[in-house]
Amino acid sequence: MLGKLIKHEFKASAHSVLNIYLAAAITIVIMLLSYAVKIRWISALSTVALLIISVLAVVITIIAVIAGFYKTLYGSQGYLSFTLPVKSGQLLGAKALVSFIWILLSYIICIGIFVGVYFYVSAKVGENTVENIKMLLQVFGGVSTKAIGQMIIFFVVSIIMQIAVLIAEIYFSITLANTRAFQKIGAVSAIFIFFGVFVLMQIVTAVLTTYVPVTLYYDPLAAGGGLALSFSQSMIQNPTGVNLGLTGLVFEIIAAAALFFTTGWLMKNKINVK
Amino acid sequence: MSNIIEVKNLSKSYGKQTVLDDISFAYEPGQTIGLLGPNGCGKTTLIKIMTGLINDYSGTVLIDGHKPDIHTKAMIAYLPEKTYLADWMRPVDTIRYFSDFYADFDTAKAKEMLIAFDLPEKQKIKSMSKGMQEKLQLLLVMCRNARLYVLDEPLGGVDPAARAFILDVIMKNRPGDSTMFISTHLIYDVERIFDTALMIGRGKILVNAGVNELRRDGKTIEDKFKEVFGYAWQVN
Repeated sequence: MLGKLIKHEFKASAHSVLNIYLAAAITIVIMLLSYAVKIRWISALSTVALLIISVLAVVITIIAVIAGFYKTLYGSQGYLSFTLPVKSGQLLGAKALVSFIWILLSYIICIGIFVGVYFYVSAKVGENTVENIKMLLQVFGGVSTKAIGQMIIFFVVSIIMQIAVLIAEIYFSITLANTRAFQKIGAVSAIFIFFGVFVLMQIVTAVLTTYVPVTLYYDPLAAGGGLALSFSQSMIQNPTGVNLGLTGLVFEIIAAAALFFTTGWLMKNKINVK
Repeated sequence: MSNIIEVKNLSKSYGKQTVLDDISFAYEPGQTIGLLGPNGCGKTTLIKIMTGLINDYSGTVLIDGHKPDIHTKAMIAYLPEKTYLADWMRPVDTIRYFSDFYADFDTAKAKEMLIAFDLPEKQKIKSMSKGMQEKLQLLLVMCRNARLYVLDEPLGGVDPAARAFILDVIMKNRPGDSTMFISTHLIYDVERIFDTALMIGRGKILVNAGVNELRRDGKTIEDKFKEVFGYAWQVN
């Protein structure tokens, strides 16, 4: 049943988000054509439009995730969703997975468009992009290629976890706001719950990341010169070198799991579909 | 024979307002039960508990011996008062959706009924009239070969001609051994199909009896309803 839920979740959510990607694709074509035929004002306009659309893609995707979750569970469509012969955990899992894929896709497209526009426009105006990359790498002066690769993996994992946490916070807030205790207050309670949970999570994650002495640091003596685990110095103790706090990330994994579990429990036991 | 519906000491409150107050009843399979009562008397709350839409209540609710769960959701065909289909869907999408999730859904019958109901299979729900949407929902529910049909105000807001059509669809398409649990306050139109009448008001069961018993003195169920609720409102 999970597979069927995921299939129908994709179909339902695609209606809300695909238009913005279509707009991005059309703008890319206009931009490329305008550079090719050298109409400068259209090139400038379409480049700016593309950058705006790429940011809008992220915003619209997140709004679609929020609206989709609310409408299909706690709006009138909830009468269908909650009477399907599936477990509430499956219902939640399918929605979370599809939301995660859409948000990740929007991030990739947004970052891809920014990077792509940078290199494309740089090349068009005659800048040496290879030199630019070399200058960028000098920020990590003396750090090995292996360590840079490991840092990229760390940041990708961090972004993935942040998306998971964001979805967990959104789902938890909307679900809690639809329990009997909060239903009288209405949709505004979901906003307050979300910002409460969001701010708390940000503070705890930042404190753990900065002050707990569990970090990945650059060890030039390690084989190939890579990142090594340290239990002796926190990020605050060594703010200048390559030193990445790990406990914030671990906290995010645990917190996301706890929020999803609580949301599933509330859906199963405490929801009054209006 | 084991009961298809069994409710024991069921209570449900919204804050300080008690909607269902320690009610109990049980029914064997194969009957058509009319859940009768004025607006706001708790009919929809009772149905939402039976279908698993409300979970915070006290007492016991068993459908075919199970608390509302995946097993009971697979055997109940539920028609709510509201339109519960996504507005981007077309009838053909809704048929695929139901056939994916309900093993007892009859896709061929659904396609035949789409034509019989004059519903274009590729028209989006958001462009359909309310009447068309209601017909589509009824079609989807009645194309299931369910053991228990729970219909919440299936005649609410439709004209008398449409009421006759809806009742006809319900009675023609239900499997012979299935149980019907129909809530309504439009008793005159429906009473001919009931085997049992369950009247609730002010959170209590006021009448739970076979229709033959209720009609013994020559009165209709609607007369009985007016008698019961007139009295109930006076004493409360």
